[in-house]
Amino acid sequence: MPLAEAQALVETSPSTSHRSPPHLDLEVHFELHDPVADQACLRGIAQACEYFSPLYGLEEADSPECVLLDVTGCTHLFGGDYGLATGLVTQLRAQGLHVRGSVAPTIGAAWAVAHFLARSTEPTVVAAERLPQALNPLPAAALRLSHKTLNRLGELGLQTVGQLRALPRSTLPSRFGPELLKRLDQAFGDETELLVTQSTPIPLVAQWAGEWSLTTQEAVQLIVQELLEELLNRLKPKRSGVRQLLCGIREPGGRTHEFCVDCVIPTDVAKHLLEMLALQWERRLLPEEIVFVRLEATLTDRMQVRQRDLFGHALDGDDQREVVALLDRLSNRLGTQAVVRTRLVPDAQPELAVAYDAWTQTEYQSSSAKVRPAETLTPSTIGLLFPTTLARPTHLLTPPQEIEVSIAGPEGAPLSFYWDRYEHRVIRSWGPERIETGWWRDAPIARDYFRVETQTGHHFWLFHQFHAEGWFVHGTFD
Amino acid sequence: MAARSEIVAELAARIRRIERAGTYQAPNIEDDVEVPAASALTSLWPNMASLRGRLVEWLANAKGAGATSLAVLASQAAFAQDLWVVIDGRKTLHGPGLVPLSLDLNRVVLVRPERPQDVLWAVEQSLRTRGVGVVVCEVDQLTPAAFRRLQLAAETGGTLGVLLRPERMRQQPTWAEFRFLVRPLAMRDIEKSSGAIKPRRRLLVELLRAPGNFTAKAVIVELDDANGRLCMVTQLASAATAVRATGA
Repeated sequence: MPLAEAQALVETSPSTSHRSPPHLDLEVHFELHDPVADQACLRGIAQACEYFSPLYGLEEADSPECVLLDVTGCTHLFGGDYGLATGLVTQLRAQGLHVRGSVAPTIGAAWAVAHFLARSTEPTVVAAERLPQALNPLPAAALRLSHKTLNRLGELGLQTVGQLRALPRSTLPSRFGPELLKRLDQAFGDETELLVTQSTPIPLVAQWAGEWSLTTQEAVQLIVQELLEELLNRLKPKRSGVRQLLCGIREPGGRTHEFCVDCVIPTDVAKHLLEMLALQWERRLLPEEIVFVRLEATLTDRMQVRQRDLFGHALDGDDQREVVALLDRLSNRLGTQAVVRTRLVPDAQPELAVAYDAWTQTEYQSSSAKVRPAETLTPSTIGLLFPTTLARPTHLLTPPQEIEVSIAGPEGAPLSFYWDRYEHRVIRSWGPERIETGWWRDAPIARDYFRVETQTGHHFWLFHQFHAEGWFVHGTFD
Repeated sequence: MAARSEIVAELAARIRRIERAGTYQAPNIEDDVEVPAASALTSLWPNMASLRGRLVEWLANAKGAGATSLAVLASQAAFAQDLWVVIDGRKTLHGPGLVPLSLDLNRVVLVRPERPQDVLWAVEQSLRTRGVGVVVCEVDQLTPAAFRRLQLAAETGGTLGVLLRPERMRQQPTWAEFRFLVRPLAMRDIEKSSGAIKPRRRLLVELLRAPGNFTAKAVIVELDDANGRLCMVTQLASAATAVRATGA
């Protein structure tokens, strides 16, 4: 977003309060652009609209920003078009969203009216007979045209939809390409535009409610095993397996306990899932009585097919299967965030130079390449990031530990320091390596790093902090 | 028919012959000759690939001694294509520092247990798994029973277990096949000017325990941990000689 536009936004919404560039007296909230997350969020919003119509979806665009609903046959349930639109807008606004809603005979017209005619306070309804009157005064951009076409129209002084409709139809494709005529026809209903609907996944649930409560772990396991088999039998025709299983149990008093089982690859083996559930139970104190058990396969995926030899053995052996089982066991007992894959990130700040991805949340492949290459840094990139003279320590202390430095040498490195109950006398040092991050960080840093060798031959990574004066040990070369 | 004791003696002699045959005879190396990491240590550690299903201990006297780098370099040569499981109970291992040691982070499962009691469980589970090549873990106290469990788990899974432990555990009984002690040596004899010299360091590696060979041996290596290169500084006959020679 251009600075002037952002500035205008800030002036109208002074409530935002975050770090700003030092040379600008603004209060701006900075967020990284994440189109994938945006789309996922919009899909969630669309799903929430199912109450108003079973046919819903997103507009077809690279960065969709509209939720479309086919409300044919649904409006009378809400008191007409206006009643439905008002109800929908009110519901979304209650979630803290800024919404502009419209009801129109075509997708193109609804998009145009929502963007250029509707007010944020109430939705706009355009009846079929009033479509030309509503669309003609709107700007050409209301037709969802590309920037190139809009620029060309602008050069020719064609500003509104009405002006475009006044031109001879036969000349439009040769002068502006097929896009303009197609969008015009779609807006006025002369060309069919399909709504690509989004379907709500049917939850895969198996549950048990007993007249008598379960009091032993064996009984609970038996019930869970039956429920698991029921779930897996429903997945078998789809050749799918469970990647994430949500287990909920309820006490007689109504208190519910929930825990989640994650698998690295989809599985259809009830015994394996039962083992993972047992590992989860070991970490928790289960209630003495259980009256309700619910299992839901919250994430399913296609089973991986492996070629087998003449004797029915998988060609890539049992080793991979054992490794996957190990990852599942570790993840479910220690937590998914405790079993991770290290990913190097090109960031100067040492604490942020590494990211950790849970093995259960990344794509696992049985081949030797276990990670998408784009996500990793190549050795040559690493060489550029961390030159040989600036080696990084094998162990990084988080947070850095403050030390007492007796006196600093001529180049800034300490001559001795006190840490971990001992005084360390420095006999050699390398540095300084200055690491300074930008003002846009929540907590910018400015440090001078030194690698030092002590009289005992140990190597440490120290830094001197500028903002809040002090020396710290940040790592050891172990 | 030969007596039972004779058979046992003959078998023992055969085992000794086999072990001697597999021992790498280090050539005479001049000071500061750069050699591959594996070769630098083969005089201490004869056949790394044969260590599947065994435990190896690396003792160090303090943090920053270089034991982790050396242990990774030594194991990496024979297990480069295998899956590694690194149990990091302290949550301090730093990826950019491991990359120069030729460790492919894509093949590393980093396990960071919250509770100390989960560390040994994770080590045992990993050691027991076929398909895992190396399990690296920093452990402090180990009861003999727990140690034995780890050894059996390694045997079951055919996995190399690398245990990084403090030097004070030297007197404790061990179920590890090899036990090394790493001591950093201050490079007093090298020019002390800052920045001009690459940040190399010298490490005295003592072999404290090996099957069928209890004679202490030691080498001094120079490690450039910016690129994972090892230089064999000298070949010493015994640990005592090494210590005297360097004044450490």
